[in-house]
Amino acid sequence: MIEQTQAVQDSSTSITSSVFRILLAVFGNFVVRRFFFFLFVVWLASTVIFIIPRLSGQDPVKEKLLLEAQRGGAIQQGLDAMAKSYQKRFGLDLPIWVQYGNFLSDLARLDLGTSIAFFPRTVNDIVFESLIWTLGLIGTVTIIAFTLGTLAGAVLGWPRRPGWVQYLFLPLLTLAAVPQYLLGMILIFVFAFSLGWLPLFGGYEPATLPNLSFDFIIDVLRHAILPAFAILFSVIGFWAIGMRGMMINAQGEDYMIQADAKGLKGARIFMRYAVRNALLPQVTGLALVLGTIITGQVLVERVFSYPGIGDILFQAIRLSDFFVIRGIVIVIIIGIAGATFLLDVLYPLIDPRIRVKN
Amino acid sequence: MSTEQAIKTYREGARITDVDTLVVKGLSVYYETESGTVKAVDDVSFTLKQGERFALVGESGSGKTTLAMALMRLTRPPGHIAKGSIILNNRDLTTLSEEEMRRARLSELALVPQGAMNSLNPVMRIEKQIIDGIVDHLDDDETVTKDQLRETVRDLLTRVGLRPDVARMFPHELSGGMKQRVAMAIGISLRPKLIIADEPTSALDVVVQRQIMQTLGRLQEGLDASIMLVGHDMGLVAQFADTIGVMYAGKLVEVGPVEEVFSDPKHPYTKLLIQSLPSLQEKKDFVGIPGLPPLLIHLPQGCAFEDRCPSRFEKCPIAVPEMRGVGNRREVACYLYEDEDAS
Repeated sequence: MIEQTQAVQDSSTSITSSVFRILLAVFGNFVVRRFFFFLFVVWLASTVIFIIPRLSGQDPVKEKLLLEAQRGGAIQQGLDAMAKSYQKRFGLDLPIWVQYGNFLSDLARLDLGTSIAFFPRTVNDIVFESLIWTLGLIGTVTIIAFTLGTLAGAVLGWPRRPGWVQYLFLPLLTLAAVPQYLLGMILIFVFAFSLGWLPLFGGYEPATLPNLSFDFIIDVLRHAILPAFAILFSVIGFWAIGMRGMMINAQGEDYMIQADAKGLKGARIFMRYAVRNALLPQVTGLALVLGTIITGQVLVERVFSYPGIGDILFQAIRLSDFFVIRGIVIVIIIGIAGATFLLDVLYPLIDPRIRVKN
Repeated sequence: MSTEQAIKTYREGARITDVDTLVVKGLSVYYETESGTVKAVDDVSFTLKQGERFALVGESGSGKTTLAMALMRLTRPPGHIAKGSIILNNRDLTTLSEEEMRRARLSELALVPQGAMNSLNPVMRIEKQIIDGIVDHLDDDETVTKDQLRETVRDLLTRVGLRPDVARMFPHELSGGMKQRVAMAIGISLRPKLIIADEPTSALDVVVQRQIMQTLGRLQEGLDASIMLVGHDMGLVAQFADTIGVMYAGKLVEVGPVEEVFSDPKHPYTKLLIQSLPSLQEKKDFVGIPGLPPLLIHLPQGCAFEDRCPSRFEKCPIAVPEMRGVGNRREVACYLYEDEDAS
């Protein structure tokens, strides 16, 4: 790099060399490099999403109208004209390069288009509204499950744990293997249907409008309990098993033997030596899972008719609402790429070995 | 022969006093397995005077490291100390409670591990790894300021030949030799009376090995501590130690002053071991010891070396030979010397 800089300085004017140096400074920065990589991933994936439906040869508008026509009876008159006008409305009559340009510029402004099934509502509205519910429920549950599961796994993988702790392992393993929707249905049957303690479905009472009053918040929490536990039980086991494995691995490391030989207190060896090192892969896992929670838990949200993004995705697929599906997929891509970006930027803070020196 | 050369470099002015720092009596470490008891260390006894450098040698699997770990009481299940006593400064370590033993580690006996590998916590700064050992050995009413601790770290690093700014580094930023020096700095941080160095120079190049051993020796003399060096590098041992103990199949078979053992080995195994060393002076074929050590789970009824021994006779397979004195400060477990006067 130094040689290059010097070569440039020798052969060019001072302007080009300073431009070069600024570029080097900007792109040499690890965070900036990772951010551009993030943008690149989003662009690439979006392009694939743009191309693939067009390869299918199907026309989302026409499909939709035909479906409606079949439902509504045999009125086929003016269907083509209607399709044309809708295609004009969605810009589908333009040459493909113009469409691609429009798509990218819309994406850059984070405009995901208009829903076909709920016309004229925008995809942004629909996705944003449901995303709040999903992030609120699944985001919170994921963080709680990660914390509890990692803690349980850490204790389970610690040779000097109290004896009774080992009895936790089998239930955790079993719960991790039960599908969440099945657990959800059992919970609904027992606590909502049979006992009637908690509501059967939805994110809040159907007759109310979302607001920030105390009663409404309590109502939301009551609705969230069953889906939260349906996810929590299985996900805790997932984190616990991973952490337990990493803890057992750490026991064999030389620095663990040395920590004992140094006569350190048990609590310090546990936290600062064993857990601290075993946690590293767990954090990677958490970042990747956080990227995918945007997908929602389609099955769980379906079982509980929870107004999250998973439920919206299900409905959009059923109604072949192409633009909503596309919008949700793009949000998922941004979520995963964003989580990877954050992980890249934050991971060096917890693992000094991968700190990049500029 | 290289051994003669090695003896010439044997250190002068060793300050060995007549105080027993460590007395190990009949120490046995057994591993209980499904197919039977593995006697990794069996009935080992030896004594270390204050200031003495004792080297434990033997091939892989002979029980050297197991013995070293047992002295620290760090034997992990399914292994356990089955018998014997470890008396350090007139206190039997085998009778201490877990908490008492924890306090004894590092402050009374310290382990200097193979630091070049990963015996340091990869996610912790060097400073922190030196400090935590000190802090965990403070008495309840004792307090130290951060500045005092920093000063101690600075001092320790300088003593092992490192720059003080190494304190702010992480292990992956150090070379193998530097990590080994950090391991030594940790080992001497509480001025222990016994340093157990478990192959402190493996995985280092020869030049660094020499520097490390010199530093280790200097530190030990500065503390008036005894040292137990575990290793299989006979040349290194010959240059460093005062006394040598040879282990075979979990048993100590010969103990004596290093120069005497090298010039006049008694046990047939020691003889073969010394013959097998390469020489700088003359060009000759490498001589190995034919055969393999016995499985520790099926030890023969008699001497463990019997089937490989060139001087075996009818007595050997009957019972395990006891250690007996042969000459000044020398002991050997072999029937060949049964009739010699233990003067």
